[in-house]
Order: sequence, then C-alpha cells, then structure tokens
Amino acid sequence: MQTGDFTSPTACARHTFRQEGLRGFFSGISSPLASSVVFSSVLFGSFEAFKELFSHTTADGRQQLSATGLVAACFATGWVETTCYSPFEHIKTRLQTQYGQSGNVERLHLACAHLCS
Amino acid sequence: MLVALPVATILRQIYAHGGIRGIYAGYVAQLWRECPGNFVYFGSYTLARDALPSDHGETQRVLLAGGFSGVCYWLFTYPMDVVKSRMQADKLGQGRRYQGFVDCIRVTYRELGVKGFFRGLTPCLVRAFPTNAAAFGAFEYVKYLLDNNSKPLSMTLN
Repeated sequence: MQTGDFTSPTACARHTFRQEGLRGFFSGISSPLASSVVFSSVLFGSFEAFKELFSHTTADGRQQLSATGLVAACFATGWVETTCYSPFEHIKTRLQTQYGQSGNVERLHLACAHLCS
Repeated sequence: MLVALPVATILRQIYAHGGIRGIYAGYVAQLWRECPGNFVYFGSYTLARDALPSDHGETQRVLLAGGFSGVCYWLFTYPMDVVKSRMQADKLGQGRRYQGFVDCIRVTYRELGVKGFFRGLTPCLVRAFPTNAAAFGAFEYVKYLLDNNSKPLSMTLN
C-alpha cells in the first residue's frame, strides 16, 4: 500500500494472502519488533525507576509517590525517552514519507501509522 | 514508484546538512509530546484500571485500561506529533520550510488551520487501542514474573 503498488487495502491483502499465505502479513516484522523491544524497555523501565526515585518514605515505612512526584517522574521519563529515541523517530519519519532530500510535506501524515506506542 | 533511500544514506545527508542538531530535528516537539503525554498515558491507565469493576478479572482490566490509555495519549498528544513529524520530514538545506518549533506551528496553522494538527488521527487511534492493551498486558505480566522470582506459572494475572 505504502509503496503505491495496490489500489486498495483489500486488493493488497488478497494478493499478499494468495502469494505468501498468512506468513506474508508478517514479513519484515523483525525490525519493528526489535525497536519496540528497546523502546518499551526504556519507557517502562525508566518510568518505574523515576517513580522510585521521586517517591518518599512515609512514617510507617511505606514508599509513597506524591502528585508532584508523579509529574516529575513522567517528565523525566519523557526526557530520557526523547533523548534516546528522537534520532530513530527522525529516520522513521523520513522512511515512511519516502523522501530523503526533496519532498512533499502534504503527504506527511499518511505516515501517521506511528510506531511504538 | 518511489524508492526508499537506505538508512545510512539518509543519516549521512541529515548530518551533512545540520550535524547533530539536524539528527535531533523535532526534539523540542517530541519533548512536548512525551512529557505531558506520559502523564496522560500512565495517569489514564491507573485511573481506568482502578475504575473498572473488580468483577472483571485482573487481566481484562489491564488490557482495557491499557488500550484506553493509548487512545487518551494519542488524542492528547497528536498535534505535537504532527509538528514533530513535519519538522522531521522537512527538506534539508536550502529548501527548508520551518525555522524551528514555533515557526512550524505557525506555518501549519496558517496553511491548514486547526484541522491540520489532527491529520491522520483516525488510523492512529484504531491502532492505539490494541497496541497499548498489549504493551500494558506484557508489562504487568513481566513485572508479575519478576516480583515472583521468575517462577514459571500459567498465564493468569487473575
């Protein structure tokens, strides 16, 4: 579809199924799979770590996260995530919009199929 | 038909035109997407999970709340995502359209109005529910395994 070989999603699906069976729908899965493994680990991992960092110990010895602590954890996670991931998003955006040097920005959000979350 | 440029070529081009700053194009927009977005994401997950009646099993609650939080995240962050993508897909060098984050918002608004910031939202939302249900499902399950010293157990969170 994205390469312009088919006129409709159903035509594309029919062709893929006839030629390659169910398996065809998963071709090229390894690369997004790997990147989502890394992305999810960074996201959930750093969020858990920051929650712990910003929580305080109550009088009865339990760990508690205040509202401010939660906001801080969310923002810190966002910062780590963005810093690690921004270059990959950049490449992905360029690949999905299919132009390196010269391009047509209007086609851009066809690429909306935004990976990773 | 368009041919995708190989990743290394794209990287080299971006670097040649803008160095590290070029590689990090859209960084500010992405920060504005992620930081408040995470609050919405994790906040709506927790709220939804607690709000779902307990006669649903724990697994069901995690999956429903996870999907819901993904939808909330994208509804809330989509305009910033559009800005990020427009900046990252901008031409390199001379033909550059946006001078920066604020300029990109201004130009997009002038050209397309408010609607421009929501282009492509529908497929994104359709995708958001199942992917985030799966993400939170996997996260909670792995966390459960780790908290229980990785003892093998049947697939139940209930």
